[in-house]
Amino acid sequence: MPTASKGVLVRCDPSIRALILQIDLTSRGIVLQELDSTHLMIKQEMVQFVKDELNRLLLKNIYDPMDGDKQ
Amino acid sequence: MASNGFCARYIRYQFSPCITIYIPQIWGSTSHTLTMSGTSFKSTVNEYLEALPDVVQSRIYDAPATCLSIFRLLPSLAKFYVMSMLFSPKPVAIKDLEKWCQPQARRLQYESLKRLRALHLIENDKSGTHVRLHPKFQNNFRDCLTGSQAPNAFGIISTEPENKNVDIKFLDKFASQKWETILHFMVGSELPSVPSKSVLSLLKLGGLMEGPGNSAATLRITNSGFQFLLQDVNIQIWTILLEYLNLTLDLNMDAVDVLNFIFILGSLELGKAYSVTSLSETQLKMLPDLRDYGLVYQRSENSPRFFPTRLATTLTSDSMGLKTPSMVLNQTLQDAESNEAESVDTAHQESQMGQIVLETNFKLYAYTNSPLEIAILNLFVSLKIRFANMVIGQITRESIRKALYNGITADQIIRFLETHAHTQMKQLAVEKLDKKIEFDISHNINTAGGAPQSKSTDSTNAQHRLEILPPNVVDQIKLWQLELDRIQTFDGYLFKDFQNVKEYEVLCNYASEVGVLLWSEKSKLRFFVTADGMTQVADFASRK
Amino acid sequence: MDAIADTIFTDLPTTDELTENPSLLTVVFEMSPNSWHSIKDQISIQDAVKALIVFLNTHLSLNNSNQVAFLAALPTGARMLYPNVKKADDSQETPLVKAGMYRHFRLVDDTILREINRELQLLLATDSEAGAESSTLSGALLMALAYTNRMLHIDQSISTTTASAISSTTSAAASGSGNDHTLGSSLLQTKMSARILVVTANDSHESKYIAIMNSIFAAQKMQVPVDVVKLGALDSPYMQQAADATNGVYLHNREPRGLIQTLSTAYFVEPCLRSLIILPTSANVDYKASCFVTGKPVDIGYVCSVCLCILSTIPELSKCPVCKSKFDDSIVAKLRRGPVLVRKKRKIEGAENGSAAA
Repeated sequence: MPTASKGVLVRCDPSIRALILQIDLTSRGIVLQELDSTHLMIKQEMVQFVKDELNRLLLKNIYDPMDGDKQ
Repeated sequence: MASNGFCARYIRYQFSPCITIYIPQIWGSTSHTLTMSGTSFKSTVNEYLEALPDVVQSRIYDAPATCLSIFRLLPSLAKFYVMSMLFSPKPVAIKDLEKWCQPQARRLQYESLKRLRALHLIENDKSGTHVRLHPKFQNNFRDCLTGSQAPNAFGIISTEPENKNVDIKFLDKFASQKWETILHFMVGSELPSVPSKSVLSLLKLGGLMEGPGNSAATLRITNSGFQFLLQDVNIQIWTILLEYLNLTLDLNMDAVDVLNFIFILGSLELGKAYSVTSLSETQLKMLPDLRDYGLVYQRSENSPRFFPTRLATTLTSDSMGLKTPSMVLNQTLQDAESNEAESVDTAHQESQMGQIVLETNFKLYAYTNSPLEIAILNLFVSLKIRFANMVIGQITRESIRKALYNGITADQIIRFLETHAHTQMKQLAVEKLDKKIEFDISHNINTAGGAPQSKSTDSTNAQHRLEILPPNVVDQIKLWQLELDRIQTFDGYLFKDFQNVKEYEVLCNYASEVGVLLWSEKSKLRFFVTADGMTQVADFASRK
Repeated sequence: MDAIADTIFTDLPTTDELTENPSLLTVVFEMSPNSWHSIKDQISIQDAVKALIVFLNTHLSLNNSNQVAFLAALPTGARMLYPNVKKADDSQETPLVKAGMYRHFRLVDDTILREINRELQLLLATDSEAGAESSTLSGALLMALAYTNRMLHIDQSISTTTASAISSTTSAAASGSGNDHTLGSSLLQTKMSARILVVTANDSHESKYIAIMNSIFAAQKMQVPVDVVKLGALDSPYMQQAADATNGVYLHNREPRGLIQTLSTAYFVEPCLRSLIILPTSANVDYKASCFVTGKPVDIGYVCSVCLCILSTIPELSKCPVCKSKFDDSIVAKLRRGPVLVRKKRKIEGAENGSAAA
């Protein structure tokens, strides 16, 4: 008998997937299932947390040409 | 300048890996947003209609004009279904409806029938296996097509001679003046007159402007107000009219009457005078309001006839509206210019047509002093310096992101910049393109026919596109938009632990046919459906 | 707002809705007196016209920017009845349709009815002419294609500017910001699609095979489906081919009383829906060809190797009558000797009774 389980499907590119798995390493129990290279299933309550974390991690890698002007 | 050039190049190289990943998505998303802007007015009107209570909904089909307009708003497949049932006296079996479609159209068919049901246009008969059209709708729409409907269904043309000559040109002028007064007011241009009280309260109710009280001086434009400015005129009018419809409930006006009148307006003839005698009391009360929006022209408050303007007659046609949004903006700019100083020479006016220079280093120079223009630029450019006749700004990731959050798409920004590009930028682009074509021809590079995917003749356009804006900036703006879209999340359910492939396939195919399947993996026998689709799939599974 | 999963652009992957373009419907109506006389027990020309008018109205009701055209194939030649350049003023004459009708319908219907009546009267006056037998359907079809082509490519910008295009005055407001915006507006231009509906009751064999074939190829290239309503007793193989080659609908309607029901179901498939709806068309198409010289239908014949024209007999001067290329004398001589020898030239075979002419 097939079973259905509730969750949130995340579709992203492999690099983001790797980042999410990274986040999962530090704070356990986010990822419910690793589906394939571009899909993950995560807990519904943790969606916002994952997004915030991703933003934080990605912001580190942004080059802003205006930085020079501001200084 | 040398260092700036370096910056631009640096950015380009830094992001180039992203470009290779995302190119299919860039084009995918462009086409998507383009179609979205085309259909959004349809969907808002449809949503409104679907949300109407049943009693009201069945009453709106009393008017042939409404039947016609609602028919036009349906998706094409739904139109096909309605048409095939229209002249048939007997109910049609649901099974037969399904047989007309190719299997791959199952989802569209499901959506069309859902839409028809939501509008109560089709209903099941007693047995539940057959459907028929809403009888009132069927009769009225059929009469409308065969010309046997009531003679006043599409307004009565006033036969009395008009002493003052009201021609189409006059009506166009009247309509654009009225409508642009509203747009100008929204951005706070200096105006000789402010829009009427009812317009002001609508702007506030619609969330387009905010402020304490309803007086003209205290209102300020909101973010959604700016987004509103970038829309098509048609969408703008519908936004206002839907707000008006919501208001009618509070004013104890009959929403059905109001809606009917709006739809009738959409089917009237431009340049003809219509008699007010066929209008109901509610509709008479609407006339002054509609005049404030520039939808109808009436010579005086109690004149026995009214003229629909172009804004009204194109209400129910969404393809190719009156003007493109940027044309409207230009128009308003031009008018503002001529309003402010009538004596300004024409050469100066012409220079207003294109006044934005965009450099490869993301710097933007706009030769303008119009508050509307500057306000719009401020939506997606971080403005730095302002001179008497120009502003200088920089397009940055943050400024574009701010615009994107406000619901402005990358395409809207690019289109705006393209249409407002400085004449010299356009000239330069044309020269560059000519050179490129010449080079390709002289070196026998067949860009048109060489690529395998080029089937249509417009592939030449794709290869030789006029690039008015620096391509790196255009790409970057698109990439910034995609950056907001790095992950997509969907609530739903994962199905797994199937006994065998057959069991999996039956359920998975069903889910994909009704369009709720988000992801599937055959090798591990599991798939993911949307939260909405869960009940459907579960029902189907238990039926099996 | 979370800055990483913004849902402005992609919500669910199910939004690839059909883009609905404005479309042009051109009706080619065959009006030869003989053929309509022969089916007078089934349907009168009046009833057929009424059904067609309603059909045109349904097409106009689909979309505000939809266009229609109406052509008549008369024994005296093909005639464009709508849009009609000559007639601009309809106010003086008594209207033939109810004044309360939707404006767009009224203008179209009134013009068409008026023009049909005029043509019928002209036909009455010149009844004695011998040309009544030959059909001008091919000419009308080509005219329809020419008009379609013009609407799709040249006049596109003019024609699709909504119903207001009827009054040819351009918006004063738009013209103010004229030329500089051709670029901006061309970016937004929607593509128009088109289809052709042929209504014919003619049972005689179409003599202008080449013209018909050429129009089929043109329609194929322009991606314009040709739908055919065939009334009368016999199938029309050439029109069947036209529908088959252009992904159109061909139905031989022997019971034309419920014509409007047939039109509104089987023939109401917009070009954008063609790929989704199972078209009600029969599988066996008679790919009959006809001889370029004699005009007779052939089941087996000769084909010129240069221009691919079809011949029922071997030409006299051993030269192709169409492209004038010289044939090899020895091969022609071999062919003349009879069917015993192996033929160098390819055969055309009919779908049915292929061996009859051999």
